[in-house]
Formats: sequence, C-alpha cells, structure tokens
Amino acid sequence: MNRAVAALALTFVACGRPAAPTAADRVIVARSADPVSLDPARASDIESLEVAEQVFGRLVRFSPGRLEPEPDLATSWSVSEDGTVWTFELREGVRFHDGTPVDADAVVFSFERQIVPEHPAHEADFVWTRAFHNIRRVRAVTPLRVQFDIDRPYAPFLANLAMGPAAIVSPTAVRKLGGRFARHPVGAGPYRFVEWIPGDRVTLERNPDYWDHAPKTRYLVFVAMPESRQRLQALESGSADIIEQVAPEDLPLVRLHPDLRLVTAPAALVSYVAMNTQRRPLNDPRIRRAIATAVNRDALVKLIYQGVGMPAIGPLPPNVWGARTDIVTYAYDPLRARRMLVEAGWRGDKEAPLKLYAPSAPSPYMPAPERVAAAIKTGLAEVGIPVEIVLNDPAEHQRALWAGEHDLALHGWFNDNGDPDNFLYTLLDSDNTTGSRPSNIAFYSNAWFHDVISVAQRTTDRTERERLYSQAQAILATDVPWVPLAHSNVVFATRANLRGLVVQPSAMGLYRGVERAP
Amino acid sequence: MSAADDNKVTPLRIGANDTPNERSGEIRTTTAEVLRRSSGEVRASAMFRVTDILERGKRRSGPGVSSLSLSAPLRRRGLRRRVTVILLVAALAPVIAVSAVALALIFSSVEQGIEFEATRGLQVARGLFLQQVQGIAARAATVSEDPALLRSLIARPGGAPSTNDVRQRLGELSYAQPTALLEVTDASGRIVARCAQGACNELLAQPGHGGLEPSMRSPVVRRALGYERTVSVEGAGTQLVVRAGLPLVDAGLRMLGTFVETVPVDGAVVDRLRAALGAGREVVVYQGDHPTASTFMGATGARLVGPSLPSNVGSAGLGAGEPRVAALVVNGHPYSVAFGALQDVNGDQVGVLGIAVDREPLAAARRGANTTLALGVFAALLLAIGLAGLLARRMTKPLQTLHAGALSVARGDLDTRIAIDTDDEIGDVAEAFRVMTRSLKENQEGLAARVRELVTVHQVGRAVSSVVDLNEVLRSVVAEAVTVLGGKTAAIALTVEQPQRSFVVRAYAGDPVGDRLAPLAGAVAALGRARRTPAVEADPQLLDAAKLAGLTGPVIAAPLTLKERMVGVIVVGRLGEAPFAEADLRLLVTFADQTATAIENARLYTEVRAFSEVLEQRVRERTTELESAKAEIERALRELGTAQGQLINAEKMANLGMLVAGIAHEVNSPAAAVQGLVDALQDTVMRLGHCASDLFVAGLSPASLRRYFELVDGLLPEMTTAALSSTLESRQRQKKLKAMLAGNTDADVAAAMLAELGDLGERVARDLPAVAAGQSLAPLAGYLREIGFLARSSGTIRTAIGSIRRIVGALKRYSRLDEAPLERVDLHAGIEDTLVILSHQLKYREIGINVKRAYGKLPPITAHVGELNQVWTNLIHNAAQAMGNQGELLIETKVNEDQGTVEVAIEDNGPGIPADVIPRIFDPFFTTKPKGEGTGLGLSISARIIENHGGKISVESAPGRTRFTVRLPVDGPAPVASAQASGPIVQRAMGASTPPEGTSS
Repeated sequence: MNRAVAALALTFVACGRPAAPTAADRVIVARSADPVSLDPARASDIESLEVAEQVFGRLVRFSPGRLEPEPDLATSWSVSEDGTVWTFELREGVRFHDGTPVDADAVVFSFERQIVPEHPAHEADFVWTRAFHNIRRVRAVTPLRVQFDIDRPYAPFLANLAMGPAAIVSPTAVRKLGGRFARHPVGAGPYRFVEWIPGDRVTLERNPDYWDHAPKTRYLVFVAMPESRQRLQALESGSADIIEQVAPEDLPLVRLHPDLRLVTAPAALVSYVAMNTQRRPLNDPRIRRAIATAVNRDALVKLIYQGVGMPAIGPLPPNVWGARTDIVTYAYDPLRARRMLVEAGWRGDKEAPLKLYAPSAPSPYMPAPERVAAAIKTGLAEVGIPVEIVLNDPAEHQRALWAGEHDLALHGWFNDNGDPDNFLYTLLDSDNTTGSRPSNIAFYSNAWFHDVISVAQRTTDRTERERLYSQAQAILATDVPWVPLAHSNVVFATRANLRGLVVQPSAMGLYRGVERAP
Repeated sequence: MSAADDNKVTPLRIGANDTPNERSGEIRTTTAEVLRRSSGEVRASAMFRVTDILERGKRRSGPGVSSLSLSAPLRRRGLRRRVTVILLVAALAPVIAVSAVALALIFSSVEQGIEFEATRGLQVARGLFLQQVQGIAARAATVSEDPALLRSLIARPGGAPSTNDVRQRLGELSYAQPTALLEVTDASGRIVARCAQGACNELLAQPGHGGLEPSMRSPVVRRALGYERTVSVEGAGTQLVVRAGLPLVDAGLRMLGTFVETVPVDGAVVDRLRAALGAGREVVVYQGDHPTASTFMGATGARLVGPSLPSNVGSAGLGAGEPRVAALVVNGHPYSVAFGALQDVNGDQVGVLGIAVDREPLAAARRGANTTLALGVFAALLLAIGLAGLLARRMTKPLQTLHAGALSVARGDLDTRIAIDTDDEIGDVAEAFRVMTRSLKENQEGLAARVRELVTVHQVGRAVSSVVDLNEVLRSVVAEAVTVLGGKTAAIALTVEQPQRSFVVRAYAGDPVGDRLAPLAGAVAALGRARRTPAVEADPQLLDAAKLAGLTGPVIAAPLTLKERMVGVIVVGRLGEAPFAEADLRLLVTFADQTATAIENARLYTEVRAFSEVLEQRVRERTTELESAKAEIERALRELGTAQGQLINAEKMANLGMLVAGIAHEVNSPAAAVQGLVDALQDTVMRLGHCASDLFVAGLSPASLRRYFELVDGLLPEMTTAALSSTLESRQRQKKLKAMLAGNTDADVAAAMLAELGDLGERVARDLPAVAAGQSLAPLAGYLREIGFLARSSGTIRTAIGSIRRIVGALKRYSRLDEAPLERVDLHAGIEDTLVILSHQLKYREIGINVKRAYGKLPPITAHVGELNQVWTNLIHNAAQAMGNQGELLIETKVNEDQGTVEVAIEDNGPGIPADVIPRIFDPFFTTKPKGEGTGLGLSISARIIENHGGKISVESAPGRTRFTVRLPVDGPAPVASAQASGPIVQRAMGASTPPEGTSS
C-alpha cells in the first residue's frame, strides 16, 4: 500500500514537471519580408526564391557553399559535339510531394509552361521567360531522359539550370491548382510545403522521401520581421533560431553575445568603380592603372563595409570557380600612382575634373556609396587627379550609366548563376556595350578578351573553360577597365547551439543539415 | 510415483495426521495397505482432520476452559481493528499523498519560476548590457569622426602633429563622458593623449586612471590600426571594461591614428541594469572568478563587491546554452543567481554576469504550506478514526455470527444452522454456507469409493502397460484382480477362433479352480456383457458352466473387448465369501478394458519386431548396390573434369585469337599512316629545299626575311594541329585569298598554296603582302605550304605513334591476366584497357558502337586485375555481339559507401536476352551463339571470378536494354577466399561446379 502511494506520488511529480518545449524539431528563420509568390516561375525576390529553393528540386543544384552545379534530379548529363543539345538522365524513383513521379514529362512541363506562351499553364505574369530565351526545345526522350536544344553552344547553360526558375514543378499540382499553385507549391525538394500565413510565416516540413539525406530537423519556419532590431531581439530571446540580413551596427552585439553566432559567406557579388574606357583620358590604360593604384581599397572595404566585405582583386568572387587570386592587384601606393601618371604624360592642373557618378542610396553591394565616392575623390586628388562627384538617386544613376555620361562610376553586380561567364561576359564583353541598356558600363572592348570569352561559352569542357577564364582575367588585370572594390559577405546570425547551417553565395540558407546540438 | 518396478508407493497422505507418530514424517506403505484402509470406513476427508485438531486442542487446554470460546471474541476484536485500520488508511492515504504531491508540484514550480525569473533576468540584463556596449561604440564612432580631433592629428606641413592640440580637443570631448577614459594613439600605436573628465596631461605621468590601465596592449588598438572598428569587453587590471577602438583616418582614408574609449563596468553600469530588472533583483559582475561590481548593499548601505563565484559555476566554460543557476546566501539573505558568460570580441570568456532573485518569498510560502499541511492531516486523522470505528463495528457484526457457525461446522457438526437472514452480501454468504454444508455431507460419502477405484485402476494400468509379453501381462492382471477385489480365484480366458470359437484359460491366480474356468468364460461371452452374481451356482445362465468348473459363491466376470471384438473373458470368484459390490464389478470392467489394450499392445509389438528384421536385411542389400554405383560415378566425374579443362583452354585461345586480330588491325592502321606520311615527307623535304632557295633569291630585305620567319615560327604550333580542309572549302578559301592578295605579284599562285593551310592561310594572307614588300609572294607562300605540311605530318605521326603506344601498353597490362596477384587496383584503368583492346571490335564498320561512360568516383579495390579484365572483356564482347556491333554501350560505375562495395554496370541497347534464357546464362556450356562460335563458358567463368572476389554479378534484360551489373567489395574477397586465391581462379571455378563427392550415396 505504502509503496503504491509512493509510486503514485512519483508519477505526479514526474508529470508535473513541464515538458521541454518541442522546439527541437523546428527551426525558425526570421527574415525581413514575407514571400511574394512561391511559384518559381513568378518568384523574383530573395524571400520567395529562398522558400522555393527548399520546396523544389532542379535538374542540378549548387553544391554547399559554392556556386557549382552538382546532380540533383538529374544524375548525369552530356552535351552533343556541337554543344547545342544537352541530354539529362533523371534520377529513378523520385516523386513529388503529392506522389506524382518526377519524370521527363514533368521536366518538359516545368520549362514549357514558362517558355511557350501558348502552353495551357502559361501565365502572363511569369517573370523568367526571357532567362530561358536560348532554349529552342525541351523534349522527353524516354521517361528518364530529357533533352534541351539550345540556339548556340553555351556552356553556362548548366549553371542556369541550377537557378530558382529552373525548378521542376509537379504537373499534377499545377493543373489542379492553376493560379493557386503560387500559394501551394508542390515540388520534389528537401522540404514540403505546409502552410503560408501571409505577412506572418511560411511553414515547411521535412520531406522524408527526399532523394538525398532528408533534413535533420522536421519543421522549417520562415517568419517575416521587417526591422533588423526586431529580428535580433527574436534571436536573443530564442524565439527565432536563425536571422538573415544582420545590420552592420548589430554585429558587435552578436560577436559579444555568448548565445549567438555569426555565419557568413562571401556573396556572389562584386562592387567596382567602372572607368569609361571610350572617353579621354580614361581610354589610356596607363591612366587607368594609376587610378587603380591610388585607391586605398583595403581601408575602404574595412571602414565602409564594416567587416562584412572583402577587398576584390577582380570581377570574380573567390567562391566562383575559376576565380584567380594570383593576378596583379595594383596595391595602394600614392607615390607610385603619381609616377605612373607622369609616365603617361598626365598634367593634372590642366585637366578637367573627372566625373565620378555615385548613387545616393545604399545597395546590397555598397553600404555607403557617398562615403566611398568621397574617399576615392580624396585619394585621386592626392595624386593629382581632380574628381567631381555626381550624386543621383539610384534610378537616375542607372540611366546615366546606360547613357555613358560618366567618367568613373560606382556600380555592382549580383550574380545570377555562379558561372564566371555571368560576370565576365555580362559586365565586360564588347557585345554588351551597345543597346539601350548596356551592362558593360566601362564600355570596355577588347577583341582578344571577346574571343576568349566566346570560345569559353562554346566549350563545355570544364578544365578548358577554367584555362580560358584564367586568361581572360589576366587580360583584365592588364587593361584595368575597373577598379574592383569589394565582395560583400552574406551575414546570418544563429543561436550558438545550432549546427549545420550553410550560407550560400546566393544569400540563401542551406537548411538541410541544421540541427540543435544536444 | 516413480517406483514402478516394485509395488511400493510413495507418500500417499490420506489421513496423514491420524496418529502422533505418523505426523512426524512420510509414510511408505504398500498399495494393499492403502486400499485396505481406504476401503474401510469413510474417513479420507481432510476436512475432518480439522475437527480432530480442534478437538485435540480442546483436550490439551484442559477441562472447563474452551480454547474456542476464548479465541473467538479475540479474533472478532482483531478483525474490527484491522477493518478500522484499513478504513483509516484508505481514507487518509490519498489525502496525504495528494497533498504531498500538490505541495511538491507547487514548490517545484515556484522553484522553477524563480530559476526562470533569474534566467530571464539574465537574458534581459545581458541584452541591455550589450546595448549599452553598442551605445558606447556608437558614441566612440562619433568622437572618432570629430573634425577638430582629426584636424589636430594631421601633420602640419613639414612637422609632426601637435600633441597639445590633440590633448586639448580630446579633453574637451571627454567632458561629455564622465566615466570614460579616452585615448588617442598615433599611426604607430603610441599613445599621444589620455583624457578623462577634461583632465589630460597629468594622467600621463600616472600608471592609470581610476584603476584603468592604458590600453596600449589591448587588441582593439591593433585592430584599429588595421582599419577595423572594434568594441569588446576586456579585463583591465582588476576591472572589467568595455573598450571601443576605432581608426582615425582623413578623407582619403589615410591612417592618422586610433581612438580608444574605455568605460569600466562599475556600480553605475550594474545599477542601470538593475533598474531595468525591477524589484527583488540584484546584479553582480565578475572579472574572471572575482566579483568586481554589484548592486548588493551591506547593512550600512555601503555597496558590496558581490558574492564570490560558486565552485560549480566556475569562471571558464560557461559558454552558450542554458545559464547555470545556483542558490547563494548574501548578507544572510537567500538568492537564486543565474550566471551567464561575458565574452570578448574573439568569443573568449572574460567575465560573468550574475542576476540574483530573492528567494525569501519562496521560503515563507514553504513554511506556511508546511504548517497548513500538518494541521490538515491532524484534523483529517481525528475525523477518520471516529468514522472508521463506527463503520467497522457495523460491518463486523454479521461476520461474527457467520464465524461462530463456521466454527461449529468445522467441529464436525454439519447440521449447524446459521441464523443470519440479512439481505446483503453477508446474508448471501450465510446461505451459501448452508448449501455448502449440505453438499459437503453428500460428497464425503462418494469420495471414499472413488478414491479406492482410482488407486486400483492406476495400479493395474501401470502393471499392464509396462509389460509387452502377453503372458506376463495376463498373469499380473489376474494376480492384481485377486488382490484388489479380495477374490480367492481369478482367471483370464482368451478367445480362440480356430478351428472353432472356444476359450482357453491363459492365466489364473489363487485357487487352482481358475484353471478350469474356460466353460464359464464361454458362458459369460455368450452373455456379451459384465456379470455380477452373489452365488454362481444359483445363476440360471451360468450355473452349468460353474458346475463344470467346480466354482461356487459370488462371481464377477467381464468380457475383454477390443474394438468391439471380444478377445476373452476375465472371471473372479470369492468361493463363498461375501458377495461382490457394484463398485467391484465397475473395477473389473476397467481391468478388462486395460487388459484388452495390453493384449493389443503385445500383439503390435510382435508384429513390429518381425517387420523391422525384414527391413534391416533389405537395407544391407541396397547399401552394397549403392557403393558400386558410387565408384562408377566418381570415374565419370574425373573424365568430365579433364574434358572441361580442355574446353576452358579452348575458350582462352578463342578470346586471344579474337583480341589479336583486332589489335593487329589497330596497330596496323596508324603504322600504315606513318608509312604513307614518311614516303610523302621525302618529297616534301626535297621541295622544301627548293622553296628555301627560291626564298633566298626572291630579293627580300633582311628585315622582311626576319619578319617572315618570325611569322612562320609563330604559326608553327598551330600548324601541327591544323585540320585539313575539304576540297570544296579549299576552293572557296582560295577564291577569298585571291581577293585578299589581289594586286600583289603572283597572287594566284600564292592563294592556291595558302589555301592548303586552312584557317591559318587567311591570317597569313593579311601579313604577307607587307612582308613581301612588293616582291613575288610565291616563294613565301610555297615555303609556308611545305613547312605547314611538314608540321602537320609530324603532328599526325605523333598521334599515330601515340595510339600504337597506347594499344601496346594496354595489351601489356591486359596480358598480366593470369599471374597478377591480389592488389589494390583502379577499376576504371582496367575497363579502359579492355576498351582499348576491344576497340577494333567496337568501331566495327562506319557505324560502330558508341561507348558512354558514366564513371563515379571509385576507391581502389582489392582484386586480381587480370581476372577482372577477363570479366570486362567477356561482358563488353558479349554486349557488342548482342548489338550486332552497332549501338550504344553504357559503362556505369559507382560506389555504395554503406555496403563497402563498388558497382560496375555494362549496358547495351541490343535486342535483349529472352526471358527463358536468363536463368541459364551463367550456366557453364550454355550459349545461344551458333555452334563453334562460343564455348559457352565466358559468362560462367565471369560469374565464378566475381564470386571468388566476394562479389555478385546480375543481369536484367529487356528489349533495348540489357544490363549486367557487377558488385565487388572494396576490400576484396573475404580472408578465406583470398587465402585460396593464389591459384588460377578458372581451375577453382570448374572444380566448384562439379557435384561434390558423396551426394549420390
């Protein structure tokens, strides 16, 4: 009897102790905004793309921490001799979250709905249609083999297939849901969609049948918190496990807080001073080299990027394959810069000031453009180059650059697909100096560079391309169309007991491996 | 009862308490004794022994004093007391348990609440503290951008910056921040000014300000010199400080020096934290293990330095995660204190922040609750005792009555009436007791007879079932029958069917009259059922037979019936004594049944023995036959082995023949190409000589010649790899070149020659006119053409030689087939070698086989490389043949990490293997090829090789897709197999495929 009472009492005591909150199987990510649309064909903001990244699989995906394609739903691929036919072998036995098998028809459907305007599932508000303009045809050869015909040999095509809009969607779900698919996405990614409370949160759950290792934590929740201070407080109190877009002024607090940890990675992003190579005096590479030598890049990056950037030595961020680290960097040396100018026959006192165009508002690649401009102006003035700063709002700034009104201009580029071509061709090839919106705002034109880049585009052999891009970067280092400034970091903060978060150069998190330390 | 061999029985404890001497131990007694006793008066019931004991007890307690009448009231009181206690416990235990649990819960949740409060306070305080740190950093940033301060640091033309100006400005700035120490260093990190509260110069002479050490050695200065803005928490002397270091730069970002602001974490800071936390909370800060500042006040109102760090917290390794909470007493007052780390910018712990929550309210609540509980329990106890006493009295009253009745029944008075007629469970019990007493009486009478029967039947059954010899069985049955039934004579007569139905006495016991009972048996058999008669001489049906036998007196007889067939009769007589009872007859019938079974058993036993003897004889005969057959088969097997060995050699030779043919062709083609080129080269060299001399007489200036040869040198590497153009291209190019060169001397000839250079021709054509400087282009172009041809030929020859080398190399490696030991090998290399060896077959005709490789990343595996090559050869060769030498061959490799195996799959898109053939393709000598094309051993040998490597080979086939999959363990064959693996696998494989010896026996 007495024993029974004791046992009863123990049971009560054990039950009475409040159970630990079941937070162990849930990771909450606080971000600055709510998604706009979860349909990969419509999503263009980072918040939407990041959710879509978790829900959908693609033929290839970027490997952890690097912008390099690796097998996802396709296990292998090959390119025809002439480089225009890409054949992908699909992974066997993979199913979408609704049970529909992932087969060649689903791949064809996912692309055709975006690129064929007559397709029954095509919608007018699809934003990525142009991104796939080079696809002539997609067809299912066998249930597990799909073929793309593209208009010309184009090696970066593979990297394009790792990007958000190349997500493979469940045709069954799209047909059933129509426009509502954007609010109930169904893919074959590591997480399946559970619910979206607009303005508040998106909840995803582990896909136990994911072809790769299923996520370690069951639920992944994205909550929207516009204020960076609010996000930080949520992280401090433990109501969020991961926060994105940590404000630079909050970095010391995170560093000094024992329960918090910074997770950073270089973004696939570059900021630079473009020099208008079509106009005197910047058409002279000797002057351009002198200017590069007169900019104190290290100090600039450390002071203005406040520890969330690294000095750039070329267009390619270090986590993009093919990036060279061994090229001439024109280290800051005002004396040498002065000498270089004398050799180039520069007579500063007789020259009109160079117009340095800068945007008046910060952007992801440049936190304080006005200060950067001022520092560059002072640095150049010191070696005898007068500079006049022209500050415009971002839209006007962009227009002026397209029109080529500048001598010098602050600009930056957020990479799309992690392929070197996306930087080198887009920003520096002579093809892109013309038209109403030239992306090469240095108006740099070098036939040799153009040849190298064109050959690289047509070559699918990775080693050969790497060799060609190495050559291209060497050409740039000699010609100096830019003063490369910085590659910014993507900065996430997490609770210190969280493990396995990988920040991708795309500024998205890779959450599959996230788990709490015991 | 295991003593089956004698007729002793082990303890039969009927009436074990009869006499004092029997009570002391086990009684061994014979069956007869038991039966005699049990067949006497009815006295076997244990129930009656109770009466005996009670009566003996009465006798022992002496006359006039009844132990029963004494003990009954005592027991009644005992029962009531127990009921009272049970009721008390039942009523009180839950109350006490629930109260205790509730209190435990309340205390634990209050305790947790306090811990939670402390933890939450720590979280809030740390957040606040870090915000203050951020504020300090922001303030310092403002100072570091102060234009006047920066101006004062900029060196005047031709001199160092003025230290006085710097101090003056820093002094001004320091008024705004009364607790802070401001310092400025120059670009080399040397301190040029230290100010606090407007005072500057005199501080330089002192070692510190307010106990603060100069920050020269602080890492924040070093960082600031590297353009970094840092704010950190540091230990400075005995104090914990917040220190911000910032670079001072001019507009061009040149380093002027650094600015450092140091704010001690002192009483003011902790007071601010406490103010935000609310009443009953205290804050304490530690540097390392030592408290440096706290909000605790002493009795006199003086600030205390704070309690020292409890040993279980420790200064190091608090780290992240749940803060530690400890109970501390400060100033005689209990607190729960949550401790959390304070770390510097590198993440190293430099101090501890503690938030104390007053525990006094908890202690008071605990005292109050204890008192309430104690009073409550006491009151409940009093109430329960009263109620339980009352209830127990009511409940035990009818039980007393029942108890008395039960005692008198126990005493043996089965007619006792129990006068309870209540309408509840106790009334039911009384009624049930009455019924029970009645049936008890009835049962006692039946019981004695039944016990006797059971014992007897058991005895006889045991006697007859253990014996197989029929006569012995019968003898023991009649002996038992005489003993058990108290007869003077007994006999068993068995039926004899031949020549006619009659009875023969087979056993008798007792009086020899039994020997003459055959006629009586006949008479009983005629009756067809058991018979009991008090005097046989008066029985109308039996008297004749009895007379013949000379038997008188009471008789019982029963037929022995087996499966409804009468086999005999048993008769027992008492020769004039008391008549048999009905129970005796029942017993005899049971004897009869058992005897019939025993007769059957004896008969079956005899039959089985006879049969087994015949069987043994037959087995001996068969064994002899089998042994001779076995020798025959062994000889046949040896012959088969020899034949197989010859066939394997044939297969190897066939493979080799096939390979050699292909390789000869492979080597021959490039050799022929080289031969052709070498022939052409002789002519070219000659022409080159002519061209060279043409060139020198062409009248070019030395500068032009130098430029020309530079041009030629520059082109040479590309010429080596340039492709030949088709005739059509060449014609078009010639036209284009002609246009380009138009106006120069000998433009047409030069255009024709340059056209042969392909793409390079156009590049050369651009520069050539300039080089020629008006002279004829022909010698320049001619020389170029010949050089071009030479270069191209050398490239081609290099390629040809290279491919010959490749083939020979592959063949060399491949030919290590038989002698290669077990080694770590790269599977891909082996497969590639095999592909080279088989390349002739794979590019058969124009169309050929397209080999696709989907190679995974494989670790080297332990294997016999030569043997594996043989497998790849077989699989690829088969695939190629299956596809009719055109189609697509996919070779896929991958590693299964979790199983430690690698996988090689060879897939063709040929017509596939018919489903009925698939199960047999790995059988030796099975082939679908026409006779003479294959030995049918290829796949079988491959399978054996893979098995001997500890691997597996499998095939799936459908039209358009046939896939052989080989799985091999990365670590090679299992140890045993690898020990055997020293000999050639083929031999072993064939050995294993012959039937093992002895299967035929």
